[in-house]
Amino acid sequence: MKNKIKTDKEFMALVDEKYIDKINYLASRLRRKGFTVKEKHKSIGVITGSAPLDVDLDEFKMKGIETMEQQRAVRKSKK
Amino acid sequence: MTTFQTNKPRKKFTGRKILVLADKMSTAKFMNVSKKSSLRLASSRDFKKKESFSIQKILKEADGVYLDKLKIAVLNQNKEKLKSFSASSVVTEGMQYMEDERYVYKSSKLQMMSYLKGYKDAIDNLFEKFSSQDLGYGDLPGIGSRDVVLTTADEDKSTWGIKATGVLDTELTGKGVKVAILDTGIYEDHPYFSGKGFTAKSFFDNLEVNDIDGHGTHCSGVATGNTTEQGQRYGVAPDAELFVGKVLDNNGEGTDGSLLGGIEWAIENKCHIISMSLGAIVGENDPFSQTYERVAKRALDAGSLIIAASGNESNRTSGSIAVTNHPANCPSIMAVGAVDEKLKMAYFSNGSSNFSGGEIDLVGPGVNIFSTYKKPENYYTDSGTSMATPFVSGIAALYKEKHPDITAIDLWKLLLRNAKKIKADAKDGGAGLVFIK
Repeated sequence: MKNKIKTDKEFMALVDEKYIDKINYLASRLRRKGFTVKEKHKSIGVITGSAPLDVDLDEFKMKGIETMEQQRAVRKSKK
Repeated sequence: MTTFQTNKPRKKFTGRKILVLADKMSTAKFMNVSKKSSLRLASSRDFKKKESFSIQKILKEADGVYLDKLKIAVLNQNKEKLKSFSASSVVTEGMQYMEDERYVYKSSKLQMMSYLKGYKDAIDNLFEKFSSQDLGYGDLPGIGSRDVVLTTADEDKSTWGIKATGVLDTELTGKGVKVAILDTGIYEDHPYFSGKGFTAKSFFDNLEVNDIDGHGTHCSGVATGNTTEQGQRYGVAPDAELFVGKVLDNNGEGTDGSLLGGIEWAIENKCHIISMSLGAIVGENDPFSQTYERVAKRALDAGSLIIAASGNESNRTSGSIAVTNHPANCPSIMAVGAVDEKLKMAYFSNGSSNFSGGEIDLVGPGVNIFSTYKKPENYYTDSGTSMATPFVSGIAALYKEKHPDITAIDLWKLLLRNAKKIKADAKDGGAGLVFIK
């Protein structure tokens, strides 16, 4: 069943200041919910990775995670 | 006195309908009913992966668009289909209301601009009148004294940007200051950078730091370059320690994920300045990213000032001014616009966001900027808020050298306080042109 989930919506999860020390635990909770965790940025308190395509990221805010946002594409600001 | 032109009567309604669903109505149910009524609806959910999502375009091909997040449908006028659709009990029960779609217009922006321009002209006249008298404020920046607006050009001794920002007249070189350039990497064998040395990291699994695009090398040169072999100064802080994070690929593209990785790396390396000549276009009323805002605050607390390009989507010659890109629109990230050789706003330079904290902070030289580049050229002239940003970053490094114990937030304030006034609204030019005193 797990293999059937498409995982191509990239997310960034902002970790609450007080929970930064528990970033590994929060990452494992996201994994259990079907998310793929790519990086845990402890210095800035952010977890990045990909989420099942159809999920509403807002619904996956949990204790210790302040916001869940979809990643944007950025590009050079050359004219 | 300012007079407003009388506007022609504007159309009020488009002929389409807006249907607002009740919270209890599920998207799946709604889409199912529309299908049964042979109403061909496109859902915004299907377009999330695409760069552009044009409702106008979709409405030419489908009967309507369903805006997934808002639970709103915009429906084309098709009496028969709409009648059968509205008659469905599911729709009747699940619909909050339906109304005619209106045209929306810019909220008197042009009229307001015209009024403000008149007001600004009046103030300018008063200023010219009184500035010829000694008001006793002397050299205090920004108080009572309007700095001379330069018209400048590249010279043998320096590029125009170096001259206009006061870099040619300072002995500061950025010594002891760490500057991170998060961009397309760096051309590692460039004669200048291979001699200077740098610390670099790629945030792509399959890409080396080497800059195939040239953009990162150009930005690194503006911030931490020096002079050409012919003796022309093009770089601001040649003795600053350079950190290069490749967060954009060889086409100049990346994601928030690669960028966040670069920011973290720069903070961990205790970079005082993090320069980001990149961004993503945002809608006029889009909020800033909570994630980046918090990350930028954490960076400030850690002693790193993040400086980012406002973007180039404006066309000021036709009166179109786009809002500041993500992530420069975050209140805790310094947003940089661009000016040309006459110190006028570059036609492409974006303006402030429509919310407090999303304003342009400063402008830097951003038109016809000469700097280092990839091979075989090695040097190149380019334009964009991309070029203005490393000017601000380089000058931030000079101030940091001058005041080694200054906090990142005070460094930000110092940059604003010492900016040179330019002839532009604060909404466009912020505190003015970055300047080293």
